[in-house]
Amino acid sequence: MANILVVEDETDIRNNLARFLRLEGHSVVEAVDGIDGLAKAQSAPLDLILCDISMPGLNGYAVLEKLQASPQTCDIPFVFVSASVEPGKQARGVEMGAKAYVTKPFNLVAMRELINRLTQGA
Amino acid sequence: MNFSAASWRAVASLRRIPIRLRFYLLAGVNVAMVALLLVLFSRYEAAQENLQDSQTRMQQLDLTLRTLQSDGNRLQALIRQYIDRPEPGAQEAATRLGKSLYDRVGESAMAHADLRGPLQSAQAAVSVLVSSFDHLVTLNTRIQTSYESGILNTGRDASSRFARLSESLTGSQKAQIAKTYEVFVEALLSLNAFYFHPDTANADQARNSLERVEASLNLLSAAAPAGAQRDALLALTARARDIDTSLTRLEQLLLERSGMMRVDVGVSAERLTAISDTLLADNQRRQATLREQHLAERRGVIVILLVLAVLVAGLGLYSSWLIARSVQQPLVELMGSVNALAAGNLHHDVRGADAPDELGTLAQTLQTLKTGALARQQAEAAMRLSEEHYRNVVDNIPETIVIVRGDRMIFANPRATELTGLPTPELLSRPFLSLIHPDDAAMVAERHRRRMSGEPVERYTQFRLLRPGGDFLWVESSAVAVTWDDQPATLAFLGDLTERRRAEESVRAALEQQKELNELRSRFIAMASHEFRTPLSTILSSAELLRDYDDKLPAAEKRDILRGIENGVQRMASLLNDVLTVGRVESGKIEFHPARLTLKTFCQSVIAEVMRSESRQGRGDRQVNLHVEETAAAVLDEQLLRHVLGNLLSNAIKYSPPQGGVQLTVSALAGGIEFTVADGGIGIPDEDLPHLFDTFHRGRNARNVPGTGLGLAIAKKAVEIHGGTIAVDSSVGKGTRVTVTLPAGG
Repeated sequence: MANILVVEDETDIRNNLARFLRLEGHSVVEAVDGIDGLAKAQSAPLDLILCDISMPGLNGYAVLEKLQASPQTCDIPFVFVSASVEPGKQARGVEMGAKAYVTKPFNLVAMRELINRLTQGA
Repeated sequence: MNFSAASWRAVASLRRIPIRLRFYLLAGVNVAMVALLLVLFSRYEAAQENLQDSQTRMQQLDLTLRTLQSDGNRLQALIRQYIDRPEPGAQEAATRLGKSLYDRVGESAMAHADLRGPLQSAQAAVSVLVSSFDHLVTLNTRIQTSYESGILNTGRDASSRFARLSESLTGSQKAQIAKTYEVFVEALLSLNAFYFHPDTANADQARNSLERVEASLNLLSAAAPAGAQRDALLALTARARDIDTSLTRLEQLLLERSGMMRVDVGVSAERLTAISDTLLADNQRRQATLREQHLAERRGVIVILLVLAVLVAGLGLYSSWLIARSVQQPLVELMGSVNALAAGNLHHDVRGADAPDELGTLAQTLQTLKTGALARQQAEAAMRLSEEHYRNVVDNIPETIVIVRGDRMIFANPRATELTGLPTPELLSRPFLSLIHPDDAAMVAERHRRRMSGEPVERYTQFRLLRPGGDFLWVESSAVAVTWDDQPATLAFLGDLTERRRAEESVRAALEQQKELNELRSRFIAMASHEFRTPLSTILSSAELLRDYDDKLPAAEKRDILRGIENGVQRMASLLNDVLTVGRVESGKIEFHPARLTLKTFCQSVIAEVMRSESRQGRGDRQVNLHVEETAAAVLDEQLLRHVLGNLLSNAIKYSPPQGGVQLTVSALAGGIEFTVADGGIGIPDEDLPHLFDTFHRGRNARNVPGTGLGLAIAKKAVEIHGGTIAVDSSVGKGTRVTVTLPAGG
């Protein structure tokens, strides 16, 4: 039962992801872009952040950077969810401190496993 | 054999003798000719002399003879003179002359063998004459003696006796004695006369007188007493008788003399005269004959000598001519050859090279020289041709070639002037470093130094050339060390790098562009992948949700989820369409189907479609304002135009803030329609404006906004197919205005 922030600008994907997480029993905070995501990350204690990379305004990397800069949010497990499959991007994401990098389309089984792993104890 | 052939053969033979010897021969011939002529002349002279001698001899002989004759005559004259007056002077002279004449005649006889006979006769005659004369002289002497002693002395004696007697007598005796003495004196006078003119009258007279004297004396003596007187008278009478006797003797002598004179002297004198006359006459005749002979001889000699002289001279001159010709002819020929060759006619045939003499050798040498010159000429021609080829290459090589020795260029081909902008003389006069950009000069100088000292050095050097206008030109030099006139130098090709740099630049640019294009393509692929993955993700997650949580999902949620799938599929279909369209556009396979179009309706439908798509992407709240002139109508391809306007509108919406409105304006122009899409969005950076319509291009500030970069490219192509134009006016932060102008068509 974790509090998960979903930062995704594509409406359908955000909705599906939120639905899935809720059906899994988690509580979900939705953000429509990077700025929105940062704001919502500060507002409530979070157990996990799922964040898209390519968004208008702040992209996923910038969001992670900003979160890491703030003591409040720097320890929150962060996962990139992106349609970019370039190996460099995955490595970069992990290097930056993300716990995982999930490529779209993701299957829910794997997603479930990942979330469970990352939110154990929550 | 005719003359010229003979001459030719003679000349040919002469040419076997070396020229030096020929000249000696010539000298010899001339000397011989002169000598022979001299000999002939001397022969002539000799003949002349002989003649002269002979004549002189003749003349001398004549003279001698004449002298002899005149001397003979003079001798005769002298003798006669002597006979006339027998004085010792005349005798001496005659004797002397006679002797000398005798001697001289003897000499002449010895000298003139042919006249010896007559001359000896003459000499004999002279001898006879002389001896006759001698006899005559002796006789004269005897006569004189006889007269002087017999008559004169006796007469004187008698005279003195008479005188004495007369003294001793007196009277009539004295008178008788005196008278007798007178008669005695008459007798003496007659005797004297007889002595000097011995004619009988004087003799008779004398005798007569003497007889009277004798008679008288006899009388006297008979009458005179014995004694002194008588003795004296007897003595006188004796004397008278002596005188008479002497007279008789004198008469005899005189007779003898006369006979001698007449005979001995006269005859021999006549003889002498005759001989000498004969001699003289003969001599004269002979002289005349001889002169004739000599003259004839001389004429003959002259003729012969003349002929010989002409022959000798002719031969001499001919030989000289041959010898001269043997030198002159080949010499002239050689001169001709030399002139021809000097004038440049190297194909002239040098003749006479086979002759055995020096001129033949010279001709041979000339031939060799000619061959050499010809070969050299051909070599030169070949070399000139080769040089021409090389020069052709060097001059036309579209590269600059220079040779640098020391600190300046010593050779620059014509292209160098084009490259450097300086005429060749100036190029060669300046230090080459002065032509190089100061920033590059040090490097160029260093490399040059290393090359000149044999150190390894880069072959290619790039530097800037300073041009007269102050601008510079990038060149690349390819240099090697060479030897030029035995000195180290650098041979360098200078190539204008401008083109190459530009080419490199353009290649780099093309590569850049290609890279960019590849990048864009990669990005497109990434983006396309991203774009495809997004709806795929929606579809998959939707499907999985429906599958796994079917029972837990309310119907409204399920409908949402299904709509999500629908959206995703449509989005993918649209994307695929775009990609395919781009492909078609790139390969030029777009079809153009113009049709009459009602613009207002059309625009409204386009706007509706765009809004549908945008709202699917969460931008359903945007506004598009449409303004269409009622009269606007056109014949256009609907599908293409739909692409264009759809793309422009969706761009305007995508890149604009929510509150910013988008304006679509359609107006009619002369012969065309103008569509304008304006927004107040993020604008397009200046650097992206030129690349706006490039396939896959995405503005730098649009990286984070989903998009394929295909839309504008397709739009531009579509506009072009209509024959229209598309223009963009934009600045960052202020918005964008895109204007499409299409011909009305129809």
